[in-house]
Amino acid sequence: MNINKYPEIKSGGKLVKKIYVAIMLWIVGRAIQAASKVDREVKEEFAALPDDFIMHLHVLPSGPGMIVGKDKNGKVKYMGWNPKGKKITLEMKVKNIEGAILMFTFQESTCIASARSRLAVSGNVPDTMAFIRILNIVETYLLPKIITGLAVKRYPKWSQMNPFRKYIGRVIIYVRTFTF
Amino acid sequence: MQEITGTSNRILDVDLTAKSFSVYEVSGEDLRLYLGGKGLALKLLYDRMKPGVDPLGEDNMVAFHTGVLMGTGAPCSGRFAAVTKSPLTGIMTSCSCGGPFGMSLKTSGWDGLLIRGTAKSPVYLYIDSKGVEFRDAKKLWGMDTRKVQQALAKDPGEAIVIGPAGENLVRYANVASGHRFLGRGGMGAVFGSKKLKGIVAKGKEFKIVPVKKNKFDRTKKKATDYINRNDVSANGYRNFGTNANVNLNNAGGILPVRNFTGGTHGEAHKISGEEMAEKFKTTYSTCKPCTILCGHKGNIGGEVRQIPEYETIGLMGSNLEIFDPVKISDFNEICTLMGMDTITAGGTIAWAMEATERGLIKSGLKFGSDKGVIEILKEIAYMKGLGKDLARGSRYCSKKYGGEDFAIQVKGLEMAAYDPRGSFGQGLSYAVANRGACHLASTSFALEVYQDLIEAYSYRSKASLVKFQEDIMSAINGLQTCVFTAFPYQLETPLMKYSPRPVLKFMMNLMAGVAMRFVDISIWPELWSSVTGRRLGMTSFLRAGERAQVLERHMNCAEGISRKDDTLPARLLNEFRKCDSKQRPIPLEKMLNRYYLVRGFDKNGIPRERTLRKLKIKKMAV
Amino acid sequence: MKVPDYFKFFNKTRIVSGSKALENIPYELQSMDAVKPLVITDRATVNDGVIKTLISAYGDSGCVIGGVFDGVTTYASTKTAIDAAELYRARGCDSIIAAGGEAVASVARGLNLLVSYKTDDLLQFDTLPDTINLRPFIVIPTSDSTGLETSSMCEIDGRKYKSGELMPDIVIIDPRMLKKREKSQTVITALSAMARSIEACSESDANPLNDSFAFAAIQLISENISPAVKNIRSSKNRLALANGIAMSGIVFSNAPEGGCSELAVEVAKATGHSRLLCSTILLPCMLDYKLNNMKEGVRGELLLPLGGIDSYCATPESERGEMAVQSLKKLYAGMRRYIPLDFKSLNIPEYILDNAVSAVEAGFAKRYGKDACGRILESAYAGDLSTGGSEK
Repeated sequence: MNINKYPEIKSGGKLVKKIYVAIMLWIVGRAIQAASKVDREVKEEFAALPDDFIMHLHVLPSGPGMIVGKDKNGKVKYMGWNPKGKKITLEMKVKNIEGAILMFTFQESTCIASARSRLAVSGNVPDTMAFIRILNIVETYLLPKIITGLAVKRYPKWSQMNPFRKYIGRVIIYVRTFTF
Repeated sequence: MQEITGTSNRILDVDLTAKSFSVYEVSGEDLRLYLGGKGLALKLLYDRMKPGVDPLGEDNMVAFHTGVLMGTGAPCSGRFAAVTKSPLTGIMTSCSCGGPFGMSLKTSGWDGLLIRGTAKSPVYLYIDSKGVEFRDAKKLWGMDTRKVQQALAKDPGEAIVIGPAGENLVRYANVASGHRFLGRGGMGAVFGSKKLKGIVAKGKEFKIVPVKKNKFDRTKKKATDYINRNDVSANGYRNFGTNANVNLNNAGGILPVRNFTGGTHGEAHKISGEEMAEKFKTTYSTCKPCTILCGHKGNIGGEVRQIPEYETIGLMGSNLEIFDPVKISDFNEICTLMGMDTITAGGTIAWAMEATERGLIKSGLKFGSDKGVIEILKEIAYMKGLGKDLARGSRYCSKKYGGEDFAIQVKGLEMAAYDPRGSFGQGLSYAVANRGACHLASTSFALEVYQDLIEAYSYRSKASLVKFQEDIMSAINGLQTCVFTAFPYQLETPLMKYSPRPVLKFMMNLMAGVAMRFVDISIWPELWSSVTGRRLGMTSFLRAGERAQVLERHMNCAEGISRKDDTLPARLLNEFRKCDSKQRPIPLEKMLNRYYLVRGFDKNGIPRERTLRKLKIKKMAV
Repeated sequence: MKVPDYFKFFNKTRIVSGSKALENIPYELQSMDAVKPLVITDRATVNDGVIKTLISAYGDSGCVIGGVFDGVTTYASTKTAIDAAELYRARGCDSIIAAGGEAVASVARGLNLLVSYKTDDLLQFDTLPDTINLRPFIVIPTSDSTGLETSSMCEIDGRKYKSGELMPDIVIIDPRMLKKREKSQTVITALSAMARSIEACSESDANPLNDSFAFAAIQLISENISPAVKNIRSSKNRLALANGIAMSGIVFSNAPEGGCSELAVEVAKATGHSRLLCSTILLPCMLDYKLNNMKEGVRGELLLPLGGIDSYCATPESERGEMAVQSLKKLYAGMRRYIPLDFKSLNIPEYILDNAVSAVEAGFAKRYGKDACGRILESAYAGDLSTGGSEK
């Protein structure tokens, strides 16, 4: 049999999708850092997390990622994408780039994505739930209602996040995300 | 000697169980509709046999018909037809055979013969103008075909006989008539199941005289001229026999090699008609009367033997990767003596060789080696050892041991020696041929590969081409003359001979349905009508062929045949010949859909009611 | 719920079904320590374009596919498995992905046996032990799938190989792999899978675990078969059907061969028609016969997946078996325009069916009563389902 009839196939990269996800993760990471200073609820969630909390959300096998955690002063910081030299306490892996695209184009919310086993988590379950809550709040700030409704499990009611808080917070978080 | 003007229309109806006989007279209507030969033999069985009969049981019948041309001296008219239900395939099988028996039967005053029932002990029939005698054949039982023909030669007349293969119910045993055979489908086994060792017809009691003698003589002269002018009949077949096909097929990539894995071989020339003619100093050995003279004999291995025909050379030679014609002749001799179909034997042995290679069975058989082939042929004939299974054909063996994908058969009948992957029309022909993978239902390869008139690797026009050829062949088998007359009688007519080739190619490839209507096929109906005195035009002649073809299909459908059976072996649909770099698959489904449409069948391949009505095929009588 | 005194149930298969399911393959393989699969498929699947989708699902995974072997035909042969094994070894593969129908899955299993045991002789595996160590094996059902792909058996060169370990590790059902087919083919594969599931839970040794899979399979198929054939854009219904068919493979791996399947095999052998079509035609006749002639009748629980919860609740317990059969007949009636529902319209002569009877008559008589086989075939021949075969 001529085995050359059936050549090996090396998988190609999905550059455009990776770039998109990388940008989204950078924005979310920076936004989490900004929200930890601006929003009361986010501050409380982070306060409840351990002091050495460092969270790494990335796409398998070698896709983009983001690292957010508390520095030695207890401040919440976006720590880039490279986990070298950092002690990761919570790792959330998106199994493949398509799963990440589904999440970051908001076709699936984070909850639906985990229910559909698109995420693999290593770490503490309470910490994971806290992080997801933080992510939901940040997404509420970053995105208009029509898109946030797809991204989060339950859009916060008027009583939980009044428009004044939402819009002021949105402006401040956007400024802090893209500047300092 | 008495004279029969035209034809006697008398059929001898023999009951082996009761040891009695009666005479049946064919009606003018049936003669007009079916012409004789294969068509009429089919009609005889259609009126008498119900579906579901056990082919090796008492209720199976064998019908013979000599056709109206037998005994008249028409060119190549020394053939007769026989029809029965095949023990190999379970459906109808019809055979055409040369040799001396047909003439003897006809000149004994009988147009045909119907055999029914089963004898209590081995018998042979002796037929003369008075009727039939049932003679004891216990002493003949066990003899090979040559010995028994010699033993029966003491009686005046000519015989058809079976060998040990038929006696032992080998499913592809044949019936010998001189050096020719009722080859395919296991007619010999049917004889064996009826304990019928042979039939002798005295002959030379009647002279057959055409009704319109002058017209007959004129047509006969024209026919003979055509035969002598045509390159295929006067040169190829006459000088080199059917093995003239070897080099043509090898060049066209349709020679079966190594169980149909390849289409060409560098050593094919060793088994070609040209080289064998020179090597064996061949001379003619043919049916009588024959003008083409395709049969040859020669000095092989120190004795005078019949040169194996192309099918034997292909299926027991190149298909087994054996290119020594002496060895192939040895295999042919065994099959001749035992009374077995060489095509099915060759196809089954090729399956066995490949199954051994793959570890599905244990045998000493190997491609390229003649070691063990003669032994296995004898085992098959005597139903011993592995031969017991191989005697049932490759379909049975592959279902039992695996290897269905390389059992090269259709409907249970092993494929003839033309690879359809190099001739798509032949692929359609094999798939739809009534008795199985038969090359004689429609010889598309001749127009596609030899004559290069029709594009071999296209599906266009194939349905119309195959239908036309099937109808013509059936009609020719109704007369009956040799199908090789198709070459000269069609190709030497002025339209075919003098039309510019590009015009012919264009018409045949793109407007085949129209082009076929212009083909001059008048010689055959002129011969028939001059003998019988009845009018028969080209359209009616072709319609009679269509009628026989559809009747046979109708009888097969009653046995369960439908679209699922009109297929090709998996190897030919999914694998490609080594010589085909473009790897072109056979577009069978497309051709089949079109074929059913032109035939008037429904999408399952069952003849529609209106088609049967149009062809005046009445409902089954039983 | 009836629990038999003793039963065994085994299923090692994980099913991943839904949108973008294919993209999970590299991760799943890595969790089984495999990085380089060989894809086994056939030309029909390649021509559908779905293999391209499978390859692109590997995009950005950093993995290499050892090759796409598309040499499988409709007949699974030892030679094909050996050729695939040659490719597997030459490329240093460590896992197998089968994308296609029965023949593809059978060849893939044969390949797995050959490479796991480092041999070229498949015939030595006449009887397989319960514990065999095979390479990671993923099956991706396509529109040609019949349920055998997810089962514990395969047929190569006419020989059957059966072992729980032959079941795939993972089954990936992705709607992108389920291309449109001829309606008749969709109906036949779905109904034959349903037939096997119904059979499995109709026999006297049915167990609750197998029942749960069977009922799910039956419900998925009965609810989705009609929309799947009527609406050509219904990828959702095709997905649900594919899930039902995949589950049916697990079901019949855990149940002995029922009378309907046995008879279908013999009829298929005798007539040359496909086993799937024969079992589809025989099932309602079989159930009809059991309802009218056997003490235990037909299980009333079948009404739930076949007729729905409303019908189940509204029907008294003693009548549920009959209603289940009626629901099945109604479903079949809706499929009449796509497939023949009796042997007569297939142009099968009666005497050929008589030949099929003789092969299984003795066994049938023991299990289902005297003349059972003949009467079921008579009913299947005429398509007459109202009487369960005429009284002789």
